[in-house]
Amino acid sequence: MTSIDSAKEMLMISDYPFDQVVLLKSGSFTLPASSSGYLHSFDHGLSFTPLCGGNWSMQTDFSIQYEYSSGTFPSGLLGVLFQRTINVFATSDKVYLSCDNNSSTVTIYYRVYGFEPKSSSSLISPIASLGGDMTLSSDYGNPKLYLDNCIDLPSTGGSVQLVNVIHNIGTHPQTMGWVTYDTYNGSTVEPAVHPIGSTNGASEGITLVINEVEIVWVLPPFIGAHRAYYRIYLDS
Amino acid sequence: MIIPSKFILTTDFPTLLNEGAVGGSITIPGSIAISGGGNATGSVTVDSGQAGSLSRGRIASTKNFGDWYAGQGIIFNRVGSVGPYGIVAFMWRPSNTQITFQVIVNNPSSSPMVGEAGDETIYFYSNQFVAPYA
Repeated sequence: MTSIDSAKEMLMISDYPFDQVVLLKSGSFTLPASSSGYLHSFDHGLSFTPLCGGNWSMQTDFSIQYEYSSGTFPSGLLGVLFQRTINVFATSDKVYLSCDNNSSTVTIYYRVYGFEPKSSSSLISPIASLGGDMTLSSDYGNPKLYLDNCIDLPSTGGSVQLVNVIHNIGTHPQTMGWVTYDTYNGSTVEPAVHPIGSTNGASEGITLVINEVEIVWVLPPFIGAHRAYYRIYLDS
Repeated sequence: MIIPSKFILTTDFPTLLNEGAVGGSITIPGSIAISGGGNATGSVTVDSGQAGSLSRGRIASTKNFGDWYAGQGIIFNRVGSVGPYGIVAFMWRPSNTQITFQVIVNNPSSSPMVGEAGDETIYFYSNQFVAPYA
């Protein structure tokens, strides 16, 4: 037990860690016109598959930017949501950006961040040196990580199957989820970790539901087994 | 540091700083009528706070009371007069300081459709983060 003898001292202590980004990458590439499932990739250099997120833009200064799995709306095409949309996913050695472009050739600028999954025990090098990168500022909230783990989702038969993880926080907590898929857009690839809600055809309809006592992975009928990763925060 | 009531700590790993949250809702009228192959759309645009922020989204429906779906978009499956149809609910950005919550109800049939009975309100919630980039 740590104690403070004087109120003039400040002690900052938390039983819950903050998010720590272990991968930061930015760059650009040319996205060809009228391309579906176009892939851009880069080596992430980590000894594990990172849990990725970030955003993308068509302006070099990111003056308008989009989350992955979202994009420019509307497409102007029947049955197609976005004019341009990009998803991010990672394999054991690379980070991929899968792109759908229903318009002209454009330069895409991307920013990708990655977390280390709980299942990893790798030693990793800091992103920055001399404490110069993560800023814990009292001007902002730092979401406190409460549960950080992975779970194996079973293959399903002819009915919807639910897999739950109890958190008992009592509110709807901030939650991030990723699912490992072996295929996307009908092509078989090595196991790749996709954020939940990806729109690149990899999701197989799996959704992640948050309520006041648990998160629930909702598995559609007739899908194979998957590994899912989740990060549940004490913050709502 | 000039103002002692503030503090800054640093480590060698960046993090995501939560600068707030925004939300909105859209109500779909019960038994909505949509022409064959047509769509009904609705949207609400809100100020997302600091320019360049990242979004961590959640979406809920009054027909799935108490459940929030993680992600920037979700398709709710419903059954209307011509059979199953989807309600697509998603978030997108019309500008760098705004976020739009959008709903599209699609009639997949070439015949006119009447949607499920009962008004349905779609709720959106987006935590906004300062991106860990220079």
